[in-house]
Amino acid sequence: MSLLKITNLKANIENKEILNGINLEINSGEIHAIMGPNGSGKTTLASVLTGKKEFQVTDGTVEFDGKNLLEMPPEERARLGLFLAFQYPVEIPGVSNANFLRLALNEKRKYNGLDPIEPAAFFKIMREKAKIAKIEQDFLTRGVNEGFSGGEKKRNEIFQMAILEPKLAILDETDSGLDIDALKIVAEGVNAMRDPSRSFLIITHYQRLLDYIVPDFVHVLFNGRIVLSGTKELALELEEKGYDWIKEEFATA
Amino acid sequence: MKLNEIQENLNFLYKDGDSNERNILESVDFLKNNKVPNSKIELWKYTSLSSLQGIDFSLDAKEELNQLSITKILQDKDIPLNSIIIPIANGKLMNNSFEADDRFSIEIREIEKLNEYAKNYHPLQSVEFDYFYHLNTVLAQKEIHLQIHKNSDPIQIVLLFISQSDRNSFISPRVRIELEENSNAKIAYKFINLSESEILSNLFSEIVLKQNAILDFYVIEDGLENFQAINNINIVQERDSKLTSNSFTNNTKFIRNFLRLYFTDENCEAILNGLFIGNNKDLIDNHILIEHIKPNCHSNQLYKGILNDSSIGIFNGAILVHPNAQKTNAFQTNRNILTSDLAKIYTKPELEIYADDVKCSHGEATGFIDDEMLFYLRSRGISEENAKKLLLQAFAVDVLNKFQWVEIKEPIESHISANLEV
Repeated sequence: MSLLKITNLKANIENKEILNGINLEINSGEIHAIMGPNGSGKTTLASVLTGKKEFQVTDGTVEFDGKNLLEMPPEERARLGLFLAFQYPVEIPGVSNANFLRLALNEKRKYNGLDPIEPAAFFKIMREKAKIAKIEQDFLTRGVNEGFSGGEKKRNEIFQMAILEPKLAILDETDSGLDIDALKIVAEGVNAMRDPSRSFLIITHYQRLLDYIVPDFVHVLFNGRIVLSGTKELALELEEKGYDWIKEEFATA
Repeated sequence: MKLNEIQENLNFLYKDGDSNERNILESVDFLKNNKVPNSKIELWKYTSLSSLQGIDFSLDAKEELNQLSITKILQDKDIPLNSIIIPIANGKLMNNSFEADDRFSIEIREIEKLNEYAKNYHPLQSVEFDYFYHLNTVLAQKEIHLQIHKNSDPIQIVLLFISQSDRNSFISPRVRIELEENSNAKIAYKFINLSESEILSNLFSEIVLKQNAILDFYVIEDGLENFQAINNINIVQERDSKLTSNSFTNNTKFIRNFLRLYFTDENCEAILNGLFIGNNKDLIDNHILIEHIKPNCHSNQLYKGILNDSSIGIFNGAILVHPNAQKTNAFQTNRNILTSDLAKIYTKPELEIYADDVKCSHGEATGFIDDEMLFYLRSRGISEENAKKLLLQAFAVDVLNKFQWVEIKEPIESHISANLEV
């Protein structure tokens, strides 16, 4: 069943065209990887899908779970089941992880017609999910990402994903800046969340992460378009040959 | 009577022979020779009194409060009940409304001479040149004198400044507090306005901390509609005394707080925390003057402001380190968030340092709600409104965490976090 359907998506930032007609369909339970050289539009795609206001969509449609995604504010997209693990998660001193996540979960539950979850029950969920992202208890009461190392921030993203249980999780270069141990923790977290009703869109520059999270499909993004699609073998080919041949082959496209 | 009509009516307000108090005579003289301050005066540059100028105030707020209404206030308003509550209605002490206690005494006295240290030190900011100090002196004529006895056990006191009047009224509370040697008190000035008419409250208060006294002091101005207040508070600290001053202003039309602090001997400490939140067209002005007169004293200020709608905030923090005040530590931070394009903040540090072996710093920063943080929260499903509230709460929390009087802090905290709607 189609969960996300992107058709001819074009987007600008400050009148500069970054996305130049993206077509992509993701079904429930699938893992898709998007690879591409720097500046190809990977992060822009993630930002447009989650509703960052700096980007203007100039053409195309995005259907998410049968609804017009582009019409919705970011919070509504999240409540519908879209999640972005940020490349650079922001630090929010003074807002505790626990308070923030309980509020987020309850807003989502309310949207879906469920009663708010009580603090005690919520803490139980948090303790459970903390195991998935290998998060220490004191993490939960600290400020959101406040003073966290790069690896801790990425683990916190996975932790939030585990709490919010999205239908589609977009991981935006979650592997960047991680050492191999942290990378494994993140990958294990994602694999623990794999489910026939949950899809992933993994944005990465390197093939390395895909050794641990094996994708069903790999797409190559270049100059704001998907220029190649294939299976996991395509990622290996890119790893071996680099991006230069893509640049040469599709430079005029 | 309007503010600018006071001068021409001085003879009516104050008849020669009413009192022989030299203080009052001096103040009458000052008022004869000076006009209501306007924006040409540096200390009033951004604090426009024009919204007050047009109001016709009665100087004689008659409405009486009875014990019943006090009881009701105590139930309604967030007032710590394990404290001694001293109600002051329209500037007048309500006698017999609190129980006697051997840790303190309270009485009405002739107005005491200003502490010599509070006079003439800073040439421009001294209370000696403050119009509203003199006006208070002339109109109050007597002062409420609260004495915290030496070596007494810790005590918690709430001074409830209640205003109630059926007409626009000008009230002049005058309070002097002396904390004797080795005393330890928590004292809150809590303002409550029951009046539907306009109230202008012009308070002057001098607080003296004797040797080794400890004071945890609060000024709470919250939810005061139709209320405009000028609060001149002078605090004089003697050797080894410790002050924590905490101020919270929220939802109040016009507030001018001028806190002047004098370290008159060595080894004094003062920590000043302030949180102010402006809404609608509120104007909130925090002026602070700290005079480090003697060596080895420490002051630290943290003031934070949230300015919504078309509110205006003013922060003016003067620190004067006298030539003799070596080994001074004086730090000041002011941070502000504007949540609207129409809100304004004027912030100014003024450090004058005449000693060479000191550590002084100041930092002022003003910004809007951080877009990255806002988007992060929204991307997790939190509504824009709740995300903003969460961020403002986070901004405020490090000031509030410094409020040590839990029964005062908690209602403010819940007030601020109120209505995170789910």
